[in-house]
Amino acid sequence: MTPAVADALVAAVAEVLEVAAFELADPTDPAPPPADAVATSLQFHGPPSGAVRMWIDPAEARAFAVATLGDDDPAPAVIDDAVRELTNMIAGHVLTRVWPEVCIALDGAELGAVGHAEAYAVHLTGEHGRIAVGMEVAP
Amino acid sequence: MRLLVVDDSAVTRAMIKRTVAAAGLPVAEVDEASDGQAAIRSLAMRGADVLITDLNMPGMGGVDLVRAVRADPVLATIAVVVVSTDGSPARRAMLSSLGVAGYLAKPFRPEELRQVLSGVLAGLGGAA
Repeated sequence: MTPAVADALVAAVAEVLEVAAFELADPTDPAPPPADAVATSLQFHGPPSGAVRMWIDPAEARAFAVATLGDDDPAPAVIDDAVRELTNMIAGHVLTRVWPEVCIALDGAELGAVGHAEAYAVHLTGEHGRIAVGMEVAP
Repeated sequence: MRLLVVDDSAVTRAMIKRTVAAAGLPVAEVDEASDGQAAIRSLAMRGADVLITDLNMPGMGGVDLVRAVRADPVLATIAVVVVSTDGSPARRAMLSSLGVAGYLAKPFRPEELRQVLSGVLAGLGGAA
């Protein structure tokens, strides 16, 4: 992942959290995910094609759902939906800024297992926990 | 005015409905659909003055939905607003060629959605 993409990922996470959830987030050093981290992945198709991967602390995921919906007690399925949409927004934000001249199609984000640590190059700490994201671009 | 909100994310549909309700816009009812096909069925049964749609959805996505609406003589005049994660200039230019009246990139601030919808509703003759 190039420094420009890494910078775009940091900016994307920070802006999405601020606009959608009124929350501030700052870059931090990488750390392993908690055992109950919520993980997502999203494929995109251009060119360029590739994938965005994310994991998020459950407390941060819940806080994002609460802030975006105004529901103090969101159901687990609602939190999962909010995390998928968070992934979509981060991916769209990054792709639009790194490759503004092309139309790139995004698949829906899917929940899954956390991948290898190298897949999550960018880590931020929000007000309720950590978010890690990364992007792979097909050669 | 009747709105139809089309997005595969229930969270996003709820966010849009919540913003519309809080914005004081002259909107009487807001319907929901989770993809393009469901939107077409809803429009056929209940109609709408404004269609607010995502682009990337399973099944029929937003671009195909807009094309289908524009090709239908009964639905062709519905105002369309796109709310999507894809905010690239290339995508916006393509949507403009399809007659999309407004565009908003996710995530959006409530005032941004209000501003876009106010302009669209004013164009339809609604006091916004």
